[in-house]
Amino acid sequence: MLRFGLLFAAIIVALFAAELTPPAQRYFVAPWTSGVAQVATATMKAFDPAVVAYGPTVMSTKNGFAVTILAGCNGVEAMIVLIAAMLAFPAPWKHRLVGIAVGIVAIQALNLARIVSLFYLGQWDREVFEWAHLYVWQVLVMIDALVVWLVWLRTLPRTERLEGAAPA
Amino acid sequence: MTRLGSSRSILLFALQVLLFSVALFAAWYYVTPVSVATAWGAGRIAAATDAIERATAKVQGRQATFEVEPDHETIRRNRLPTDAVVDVPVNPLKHTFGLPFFLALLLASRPPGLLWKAPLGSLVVVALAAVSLACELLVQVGLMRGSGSEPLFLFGAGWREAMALGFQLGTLIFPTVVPAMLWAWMDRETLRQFLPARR
Repeated sequence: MLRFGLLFAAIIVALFAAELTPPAQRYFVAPWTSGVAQVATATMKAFDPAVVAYGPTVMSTKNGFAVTILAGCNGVEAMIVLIAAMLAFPAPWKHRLVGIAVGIVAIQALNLARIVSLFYLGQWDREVFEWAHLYVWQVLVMIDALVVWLVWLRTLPRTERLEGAAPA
Repeated sequence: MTRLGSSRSILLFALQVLLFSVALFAAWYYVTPVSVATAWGAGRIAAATDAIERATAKVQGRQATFEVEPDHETIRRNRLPTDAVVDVPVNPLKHTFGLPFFLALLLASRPPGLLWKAPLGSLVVVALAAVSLACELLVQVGLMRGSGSEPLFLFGAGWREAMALGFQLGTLIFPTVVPAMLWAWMDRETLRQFLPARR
């Protein structure tokens, strides 16, 4: 447990530091965020044709309401946490890679629900939007990552589970 | 204790976390002492920096306003009145929402020693929230400009680095990751239920 905790902390700090560098922002975070906005817009267009995306900004052409997807809203931080947890836990690389891929899909799926819900909450009530944006969805995404990690642990071969769960 | 021996019980655990979260988030939103304690700690941390003499928080509703008194050097350099005070509003809830999350995780798994683990973990979460709130306050103070557009408060290089790091950690890690890590550390028995021998 101690080994896992230290590795997890080290990997998470390294990944967050890497994420904040200008090249990572330019070549990964910015395109990823625009992609998230495009997918969210395409999803909403299925039932609301008045939604358009300009880069990371999603806007309603009906009333001009817009949300801009920034750092912390693109699911990248939750992905980093999950990747760090899977890399820090002793497991075969094949399991890690599959877990990371499935985890990213799970996190981004919930993040999509988050963006869609916030887009309409913001048009309905500003205070509820702030509450959901600042507190509720942050915790829900983290619970999502935690559940994915716990389910992933269940899929590990016996030896890795024994090693990883051994007391410090 | 919730048995996490199967994927189904993991989902049940997640459901319990959500249900406890609803109640605990409602309580946290309306309970001012958490914000008062966090803001008090943040004020003490801010006052330890080299450009601030004192930072006193007044919590009204869900908003904290810090009355920041510059140190003597800052007053002299900016030719400020000796009793100069700068008001800085900050939202402490942005930093303390990890507390109901942590308690929801703990109540959902109900580990042995819950009665000491809950207050101890809460103390850690609130202490880190105070660090995070202090960093947001200091970043705001550091951005203030004097009459000649020069920085009003000059912090040492070490403090500036610490503020930037604390602000990043406070925004990205403290309120969401730390509660989950604390829970995992305090409830290792639940994680050990993944051992095949225990199934």
